[in-house]
Order: sequence, then C-alpha cells, then structure tokens
Amino acid sequence: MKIQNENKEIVELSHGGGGKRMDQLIGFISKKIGIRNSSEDLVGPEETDDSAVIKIRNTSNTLVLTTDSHTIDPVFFKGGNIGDLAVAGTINDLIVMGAKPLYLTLGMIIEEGFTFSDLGRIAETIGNLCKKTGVRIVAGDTKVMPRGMLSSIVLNTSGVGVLIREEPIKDSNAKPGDIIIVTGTIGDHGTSLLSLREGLQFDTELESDVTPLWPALEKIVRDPRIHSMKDMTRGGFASATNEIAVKSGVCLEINEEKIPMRPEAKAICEILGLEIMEISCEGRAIIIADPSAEQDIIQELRKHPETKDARIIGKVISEPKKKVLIKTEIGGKRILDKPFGEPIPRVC
Amino acid sequence: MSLEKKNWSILVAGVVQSVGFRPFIKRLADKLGLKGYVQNLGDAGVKIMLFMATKEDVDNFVKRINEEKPDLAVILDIEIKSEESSIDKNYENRFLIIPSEKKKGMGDKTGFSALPPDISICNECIEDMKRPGRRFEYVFTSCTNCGPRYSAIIELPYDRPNTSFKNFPLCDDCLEEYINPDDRRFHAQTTCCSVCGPKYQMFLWKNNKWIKRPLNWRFVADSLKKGKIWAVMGISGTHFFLDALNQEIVSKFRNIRRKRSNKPFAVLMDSINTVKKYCFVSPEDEKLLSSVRRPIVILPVKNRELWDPVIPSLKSLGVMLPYTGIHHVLFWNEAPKALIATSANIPGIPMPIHPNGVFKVAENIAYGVLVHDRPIIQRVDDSLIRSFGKNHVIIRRSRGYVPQPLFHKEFTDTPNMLSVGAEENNTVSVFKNGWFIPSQHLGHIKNIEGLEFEKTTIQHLEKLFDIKPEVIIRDLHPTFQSSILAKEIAEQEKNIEYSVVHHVAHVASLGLDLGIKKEETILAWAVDGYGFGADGNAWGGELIFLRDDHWERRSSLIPINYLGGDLNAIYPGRMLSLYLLEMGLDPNEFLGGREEELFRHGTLELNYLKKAFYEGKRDILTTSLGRLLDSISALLGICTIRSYRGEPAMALEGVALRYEKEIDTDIFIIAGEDGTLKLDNKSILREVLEMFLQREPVDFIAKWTHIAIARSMGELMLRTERSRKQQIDYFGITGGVAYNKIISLELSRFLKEQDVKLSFHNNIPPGDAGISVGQLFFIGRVINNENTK
Repeated sequence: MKIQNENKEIVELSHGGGGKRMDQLIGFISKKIGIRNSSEDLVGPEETDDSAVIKIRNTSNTLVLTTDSHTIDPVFFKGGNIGDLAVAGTINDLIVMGAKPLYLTLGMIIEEGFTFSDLGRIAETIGNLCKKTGVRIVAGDTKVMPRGMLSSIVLNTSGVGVLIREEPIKDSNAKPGDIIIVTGTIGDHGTSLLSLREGLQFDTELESDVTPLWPALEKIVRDPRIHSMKDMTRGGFASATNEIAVKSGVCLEINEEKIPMRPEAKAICEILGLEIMEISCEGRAIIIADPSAEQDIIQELRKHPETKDARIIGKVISEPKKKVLIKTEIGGKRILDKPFGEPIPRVC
Repeated sequence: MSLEKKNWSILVAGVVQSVGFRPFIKRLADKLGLKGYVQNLGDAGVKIMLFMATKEDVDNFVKRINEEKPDLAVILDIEIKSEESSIDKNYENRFLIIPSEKKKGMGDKTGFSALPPDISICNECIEDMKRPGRRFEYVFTSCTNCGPRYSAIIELPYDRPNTSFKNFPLCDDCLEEYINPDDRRFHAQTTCCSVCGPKYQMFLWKNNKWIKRPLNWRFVADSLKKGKIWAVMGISGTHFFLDALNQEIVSKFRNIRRKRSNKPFAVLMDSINTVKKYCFVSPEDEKLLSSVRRPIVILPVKNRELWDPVIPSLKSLGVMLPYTGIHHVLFWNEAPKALIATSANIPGIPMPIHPNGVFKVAENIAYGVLVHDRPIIQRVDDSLIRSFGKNHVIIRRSRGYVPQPLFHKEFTDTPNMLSVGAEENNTVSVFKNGWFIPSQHLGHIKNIEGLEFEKTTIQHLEKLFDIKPEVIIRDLHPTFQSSILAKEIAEQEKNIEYSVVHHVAHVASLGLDLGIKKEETILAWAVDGYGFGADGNAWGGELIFLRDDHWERRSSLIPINYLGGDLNAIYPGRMLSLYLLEMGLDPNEFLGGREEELFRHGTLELNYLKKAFYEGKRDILTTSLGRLLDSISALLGICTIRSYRGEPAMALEGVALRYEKEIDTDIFIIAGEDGTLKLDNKSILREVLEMFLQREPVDFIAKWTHIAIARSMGELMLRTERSRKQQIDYFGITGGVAYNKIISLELSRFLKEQDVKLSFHNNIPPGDAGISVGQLFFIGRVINNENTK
C-alpha cells in the first residue's frame, strides 16, 4: 500500500500548529508565490528565520523586517491580552535577529459587536508596551466584519528594526562547543490558555509569559559571541531547537533536568496528555553562544524580570547532525522531534 | 552411460556456511573414495568438484549429503553439472578443502548462503573443559558444532580472519587439531585454548574504582552465594548475575536497577533438574530448553511466594540453561543454582558490548565485573519464549535464532528490500531472492542509542548478505523514529518508500510464518496495545482478512474515546474512566475514593477527563484489546501504573491464572454503528463491573474476563466466515496479546469445538518484533503484483 504524502484538499487546523505540517503549508504557499532571496538580503525570506535582514543599496542602516498575525481565543487571558501578543511577538522576532526594534504597523480586523470597552483595553495595552520598549506605531489599518464572519478580533503587526551588530543572528550559525541558554520557564503561555479553556481550576499564578524582550536582551544582542537566537512561539521549545539544529547542521544536546518549567504547567500538560516542550511560549528565547560568553549572558539576563529564570541547559555538539537530544535522568538520550501536528499516540 | 567417468561440479545453496559443512563433505568424500575439492563461495554457497566420478557415484554422494548433513545446515538447492575439463593434478588422489572465494550468486536465484546463529556449547566441549590440559575450565572452548557465530562474524565467507577470532592466531596444538580431518575441531573457525585464545579479566569495585584482581572462578561463585552482584560480559552481550533466591538482594537490585519497575527478571539455572524442581516442565519445554539455541523459556512456577521478588504479581518465570563455558564453570564452582541473568543495560539503552561500556553500566551496582578481550561484533540478546505447554510462542527472537532466514518461493524474483519495523521491541529485516532475514532484538528505539543500534544493524546485515535494497518499508505511523529513519534512507539512497498498516503487518507476519500461498486466505485477530490504524485511530483489536496483497478489516472492538493518548497506556485508570464515560456511567460513582491511586493528579485529572468528554472532545478513538485488559486490571486494583510494557494486562493474566477451575461465559457481540458485527467490549466491562460491585473474588473475575474475550473473538471469526460464505484457509491470532496464554488457548479450544483449527505463530514473534518481517511479506506481494501487470 503506497502511501502518498499530504494530498488532502483542504487546509486543516493542524496546518497552523507550528510543527512539520505548518512547514508544509508555508512551503506550498511560498512555492506558489515564487518567494525568492535577492542579492541585497543578508537574511532572505527563503531562510524562514524570525525576520528578514536587508541592506538596501546606498544606505547605512541594515533593515530588519517581520510580520505577525494574532487570532487568539480568548482575547483576554491570564497574564495579558491580544494586544500584548501583537506587540511582543513582532518585537521579539526583530530582537532575535540582532535588531533594535523601532516601528510597528498595526492592522486590526474587528468583528461587529466587539465592545469599545474591550477595544480600549487592548489599545491601552499596546500603547503601554510601546512606551516601555520605545517602539512607535507609525501606520495602521482597521476593518470591521459582519457579526459571525470573524472571531472577535484579529490583529496584524509588521515590525521594522535596524541591525545593531555586524552580522545578523541567524538560526544557521550554531557551532559545536556553543552553550545553549533558555531565558525562562517553557510552555507557560500555551498551558495557561489551555487550562483556562479546559476549565482546570488552579489556585496558581500560572499565566501567560507574554512579554517583549526589549530592553532585556539589548546588551546580549550586541555581543558578537551570540551565534543563534530564536524566540519560542508556536511549536514551543521542540520546534525552535529543531529549527536551529537543522539549519545549523549540528546536534543540540540538552539536559532534561536543567530545562526550567513551572510545576503547575507540567502538571496541566500531564493531565491533558500534552508534551510541554511542544507548547507555545510568547516571551521566551533560546540563545546559543560561544562558551566564553556564559557568565556575561547569565548575569545580564538575571538583571531583568522577564529573563530572571534564565538557565544554561546544554551544549551544541557535532553529531548526530540535525537532531535534538534530551539527556534523561536515567541515562539514554531521547530524540526530540519537531512536533508533527496533532499529538499521535505511540505507546503499545 | 552411468559408468562413464567425468568431472562434476555440485553447487549447494542454503544455510551451508559455518555449520561444519565443508569438513562434513570432506569426511563423506573420503569415505566414498571420491577425489576433488570443496570450496566456500561466500554468497554463492558451497561448490564441490568431483574428478573422474560416475553418475552413480554422484547421485549416491548427493543422497548421503541430504541424509547426513549437519543439524543446523539447511539445503535449499543442489545444482549438479558435468564438466568436460581435464583433471587437476592436485586432486588426482585426494579430496581437499580449498581456500574460500567470495562470489556473488552465480546466476542461480536461490544462491544465498546464510550463516547459523550462535550455538550453545556442546557436551563434548563441556567434557573437554573438565579434563586437565589447556582447555581445563577454559570458558571459550568451542568446536565445529558449537560456539559463537552471528555475534562473532564480521563478514562472509565464514573464515577465521573474518571473525573476531582474527586477533587470536592459533597455537601449534590448536593448529594441529584444525588441520586434522578426524578431529572435532577440524576447520573449526572459533577454536582456541588457554594458550592462544581470549581471556577473561576480573575487577572489583573498591574506593569508587575498578581494581583488577587475578581471575578466580571459585571466588566469583562464592561471592554470588553471599549475595553479591556481578556484571559479566558474555558471548553477545552483558548480564547482571545474582542469587535469584536471595529475596533481600533481589529487591535491593530491583530498586537500584529499575527504580519502581516491576519488570520480571530471567533466571539461569544449572540443570534441567533444578528447573523441574521449581517449575512445571512439559516434554516440549524440556526439548526447547535443552536445544542448541538455549532460549529463555517462560514456565509456570510451583511456589509463587518464593519467586515474587523476581516476578512481581506474575505466575510464570523465564528460565534458561547454561549456554556458554562461563556458566558451566561458575556452577561447577558451586555458584547458586538459580542466578538472575538479566541484560545489563541502562534502561532505554542497548546493553554494552565493549568492556568500557560494561564498567560504566556496572558502577555503583555490581560488586565485581568480568570482561574479556574477544570483540563482540553483533549485540544479541537472549531469546525469550513463552510455553503454552504443548505450543510455544516466541516473544524475542534473538540469540540462537538470528540470523536464520525464512524462505518463501513466491518471492524469488522480488527485488531486494529493507524494512524498519515499528518502535518498541523492534527488529529490522532484509530480503533477497526469496529469503527473509529478521534481525536480532533491537529494543525500544526512541533513544538515540537505540536508533544507532538499528542503523548499525541495518548496515551489518546489508554488508553480511550483500543486499542493496531497492525498496524501504516502514510502519504507517508518521513519527516513529524508524519511520523518520526510513524516509531519510529512502531520500539518501533514492529508494522507493512504502508503509504498511501496523496490524496488517502483524497478519502478514503470521502469513509468512505459516508459509501461506498466494491464493490462500487468512482471517486473524491482530490484538495488542496500540498500532496506528489505517484511519489514523488507535487500533489494537482488529479482525483482519488477508489474501495475496488485499486486506480488509472485518471486525474490531467498539471504538472508545482515547483522549490523552499514551497516558491511557501508562495510567490504565484513565482508560477505565474513558470506558465508563463511553458506557454512560459516572466514573466518580465507581472510582470515588480511588482518585489518588488511579490518577497521577488525582481528582483534578478525573474531573478534567469528565468535562472534556462531556464537551464532546473526541480526537482519536481506540479499539485496542490491550487497553480493555488494562482497564479491567486497574478496576480490580491489580495494576494501576504501568512500569513496563504490557504490565497491567500481564498482571491481570497472572491473577487469572490463579483461578484454576473452568468457567463458562456468554458471548459478547453486537452490531456496530456501521452495521458490522463488533466485539462488545463495553458489555464485557459492564459485566465485570457488576461482578466487582458484588465482590466476586478478583481471580475469578480476571479469569472470566479472559474467557469471555476469547469466546467472543472466536464467535466473531466464525460468523464473519459464515456471513460471507467464504473459504478461510487459516484462522489465526497475532499481535502482542497473542502471548496471553489463557486467551490464546481458550480461543483455540472454542474454535476446535467447531472443527476449526487456530494457527499460531511458531518461528516469528507475534509482537512488534515480527512487524518488520511482516512488512516485507506484504509489500513483497504488492511489488510482485505490480510487476506482473
């Protein structure tokens, strides 16, 4: 029975899950459009990095550009709202390329019936974050759709920054010998939202980790000893680490007990039957750097509340290439794959 | 014309390497006064040239070859040709064994020489070890009839320089034996002695270091008696040895080694008498235990309490008899007569085969370590077989079996193939010219170490048998490590990639095991814990019809919500709750007070399950028989957390076996939503629940469960056949639940009453270890049909 790969006719929810299936969707669209790199790109669209980095001819600044759309439900959750996601998500994508975030555009599509009160809250959130990070919203667009044609509100932000270092920080630059750092506990955002949705009443402070990582990462981004950086969003820790491993052609070897996780997040995942390493974060980054930078990075990260739980969790080795290995307590190194789409059972 | 003397070439194909075939031919030729030579041709088999012989001579010679060949030789084909060449002066008056030549199959499709598995030490060699001289207590003693083979061979042809004995050039005495045609060690590639052969070294753990000590077998035996643990590097792997009847030390060992796992340990016993002292042994069991393959055989114990620390909650013990010199020497030196002999591996990692690995794994566990200097080329675990009294089911097909191939003549023209199996208890298989060759046990391959073992085994088998696959076959499961590996290999080697539905591969493996023909039909229950279904659901209780390359799912259990996926396997209380919810019942009502026992996160978790279920959350459904057994095990309080594969269901069977009387039950079949008949798992659970509430004895309920399931399975098979008025050639059972003695035997008995024979596996494991060879068989047929279009 020859099995054909992915010849279905409709886009499914799992295509948006941030794993291998989403890669397939993106690949399909890119191919149809004919997306190509150009000679002025330092990091072009074909590299599918967090942002594009472009040196326009006859200018001194190197532009860093990205875009992000947000359709979260519920719009207001513990720890933030869709406005937080819209600002933090885009800014973080610029930062992890080595850019200082400068401008945002803001597109809003609002469902008829959405209250001005809620809209106001979201707008204020956006405003506060911009003030905090020094980023300006310089252009925007709004649309309203009839009731029922859209889920509450959809936001899109495009971000522009400038490169503040010699070379962009690319997913493909990790080198054997490098240390791997994670800036805080993983899986908080997705787990917090799921627990709300699933009605798991918890007397805890588990909330979304959504936050911009600027100016927390400013000093670190300027450090040339940083080789790779990625903010962990859809697909979580597993997705981000695998992207780096594959694009850099190396192996990421990680110590399981070193990965910071909140016990409540772990417990909820255990109840829901989910793998915490595949759950989205919205204010966490992975940093891969030369080992000589270890002390400097950790000290700097610990100074800021957004990154105070940062930890060194492993190191980059050369073999087996393009794989992420998790060293377990008992011994033995588990292979951590990029999430597929929906979780599939495997235990007999 | 038969008196005319000519020169003849005789090509023998089959398993004719490293079974002492050439020495046998020489002795026979000498006896018959024939002149010429015999030569090993690698892949092409063995070639015999006879000079100036009559046709009658040749026919007689060939007849006696077939009648008197060595035990482990398998002759598939003998091609005889007369030649008009002139006689070679070298062989005018004698018959010789001449040096090997590696040749590919010489245009003959069945040209394929396998090599035999590792063979347990023979009685003559044991006697040699008792006599004073250079083989006294020399544990590496072997001859042409016994010794390491697959674990020691680097490549074919089977000659000493191609084995790990190449590091040990023969001393004069050994050489003399080697060239003497009348000696038992004539051309024995693994021969050696204390002068020229490999040696053991002994180390003790002192002050956090391994300190070398002079080797002393009595010392080792004494310390085992005193309750010490030893790590021993053997012929194909490493074991931990300790006194099996020292309950205290066994419990302590279990805590260090397996940290809360109840997985049973295997036991090495000194003699068949000791086995009979502790276990019930049928004549077939005895034959199997004493065979040259020396597997571990799982037998019912007489005294459960005595063995409880070794086999928690179970009623059967895996025992094996000594298979290599070191076992005998330890027992002669009065080591305890029952030793736990368990694979010395860090859980999730294949056992070490280099001394460095042995030292590492033994740190902080073993008192002493025994390592030797003969490299182990292939890691091979002990084989494991469950006894059903008269029949035997292979659980793990490894030492003593691998790499024995299976042959099916339908496939002599099929292109070369490689299959990568599934994920747990995995094997890979290679295929060439009608020969199916399963690998040894690879274990769980989710860790990188397991995946490496799978990769190197593939490379080794392809090199050994000179197979370049054109086709790669994998399980339908998209994220198994083996599936990912298959995709990588297919891309790299530009091979075509196929997938096979898990339970279809199980049934196909049964088909190969039975040697079924192209047009024959098989209707089999493929029952286990989980397999990726053709519809993406969690299958595990499937009645599958197979004919040629066409399969149908004729029946199954009723699908049950599988919210949480794998969690339901590890915490059977969850599966139980899902069952209760599907049955329209409130789990709180029946499991109230047991939340902490059954759920990792207690009441919170149960409440979430309920809420999610009532909200209609339904991603994947399961029809697994394994999960039904697990649920009942949890309900009855027998096993609530799975600490090793199959534990809840195995423990349930262990309890069921305590109830020895016969039970009569109803049959539970129902018309499903899609109109086909289904096995009514819900009603079975409902009855069990009622019995449980009425406080019937737990062992009775457990036994009732097995009988009800088996009868319902049997009835469904019969009704399926009758409703289609179709001739079914074979009725079978396959999948991991086929290890369940009560279900298998009851199903067999039930069908027999209707004059229907139930076919069991006998050469291939019914569990996931059989998947890879089943994948080959199924796709082999697919390809054959594609090619004939």
